[in-house]
Amino acid sequence: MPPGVVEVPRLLNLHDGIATLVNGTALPEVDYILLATGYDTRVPFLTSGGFLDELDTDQQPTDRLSTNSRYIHPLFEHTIALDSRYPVGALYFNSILLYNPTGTTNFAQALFAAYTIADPSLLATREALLAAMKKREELVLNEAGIAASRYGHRVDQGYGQLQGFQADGPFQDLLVHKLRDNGFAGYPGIPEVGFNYTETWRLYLMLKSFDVLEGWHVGLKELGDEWETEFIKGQRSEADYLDTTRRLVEWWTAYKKRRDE
Amino acid sequence: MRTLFFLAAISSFCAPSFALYAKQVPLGGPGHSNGSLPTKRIGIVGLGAGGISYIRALGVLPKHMRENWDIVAFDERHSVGGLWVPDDHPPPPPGLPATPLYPHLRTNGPHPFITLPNTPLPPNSPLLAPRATVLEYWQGAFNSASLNHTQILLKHSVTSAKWIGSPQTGFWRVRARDMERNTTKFFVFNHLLVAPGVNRFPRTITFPGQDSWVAAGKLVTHCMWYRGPNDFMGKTVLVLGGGPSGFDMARLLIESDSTRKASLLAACQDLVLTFQ
Repeated sequence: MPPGVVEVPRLLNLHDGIATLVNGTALPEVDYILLATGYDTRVPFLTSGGFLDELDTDQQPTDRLSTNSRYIHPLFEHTIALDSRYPVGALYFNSILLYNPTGTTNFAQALFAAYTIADPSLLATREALLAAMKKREELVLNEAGIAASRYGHRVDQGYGQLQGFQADGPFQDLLVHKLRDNGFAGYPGIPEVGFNYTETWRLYLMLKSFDVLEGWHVGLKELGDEWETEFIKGQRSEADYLDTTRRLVEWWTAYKKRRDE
Repeated sequence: MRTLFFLAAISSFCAPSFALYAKQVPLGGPGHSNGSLPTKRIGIVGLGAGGISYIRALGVLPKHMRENWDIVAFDERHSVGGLWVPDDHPPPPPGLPATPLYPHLRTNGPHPFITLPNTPLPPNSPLLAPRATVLEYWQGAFNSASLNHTQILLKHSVTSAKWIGSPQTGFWRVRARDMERNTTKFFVFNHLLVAPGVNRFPRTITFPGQDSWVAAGKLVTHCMWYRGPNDFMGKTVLVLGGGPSGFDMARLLIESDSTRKASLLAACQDLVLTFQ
């Protein structure tokens, strides 16, 4: 938590106009509750057309697309709708993932859509994709300990090393490598055989993401805009920015060590 | 035959644009025929980071793979860029802000992690990039995409999509409202690419006794309406939620001098915690 913020247990109720926590503590001084409780996953234009049922239960059917406000189901890899009323490839999703590296995941999903629209033979049958989806949901349950329908559209558990431990690579690689390994290696946006879509350095950044978030804000607050300007001076390429991240992580590690001594 | 009949019936009362499209729509489902690729009509709904990624990915396809494709992309906003397009004076509830974006928002991780492949942010961008930099980045990604024959319809709200046909073959019938002219338009697509984003509909929680809380003149708001610490002048704030939003709300409030005491942070019942 940010320094100075007092962390308290969950809120139980607001009876008599007073916030009371689950441990029984009353907080009469609190007069403003700010809900940072997330967002519902809804797509009203699909719902109004009768093609995305809004359900109050996590028991979502496999033949009609629905949302329980956290999870749209059935989707193959959060991307292709497997509703039985239309063909596989008629409806694709993007930008519904949470806590994901936006650019690489969105572009991977988009490449998958573009190439499979151009060559529908890339797509397996609805039954095969449903089976793959069920296997993925089991991996998510095993790793995250939460059912996929509750966990929502997250790809940090149930995928490969560095984003989970049971499958064969990060989510975005999995999608693009299907194209790479089925005749499109070296095509625009698709890596050659033997190369991964996601650069190794990006995975390093993923692991250090929270260090950067904490450290950068502390640096800004305590050392100001000049510190920031100095830190990023001359940065142009991805390699430069990677170097900046490394320097920031070193600076932050040393800062925390000094602070703790 | 039912499909053909429906097309004829619709075109008699719909916007002229529909009749124009109807002629181009292949009634067969997706697939090859005699080795040649059929004309396809593709609809993209949403032009934030997701929709822009669709535009770029379709744009990199080799030309022979996307010959005679027609693409229509919709967005409700006046500009592409999705949640990065500011809405700094949102309507009060029950009205909804177009985005949760607030003026001091920066990326909640290092920007090289969240960029498109081989497409870094401009030189000398802070690792936690400010909102204007990120908006320019995605707008630049949109403008540099090489996609011809694409109709970009901003200020158009897609209100309904229906699959007309069978599990094997058919088309999407899409209704959109031109928000400027306040007219309705109809479209037909073989493929619908949906990029709705995940920060549009706030998840609110009602606690037992909340009526008495409100009656006592106390406030409860979802952080989607947060635009700065001024609204919290003199207040003692309980932030509910330990995800990226909760973390940033707590940080911004504690760093401003407007709160009377330390703001407090609670983890809410239903939330999957990301940061400890």
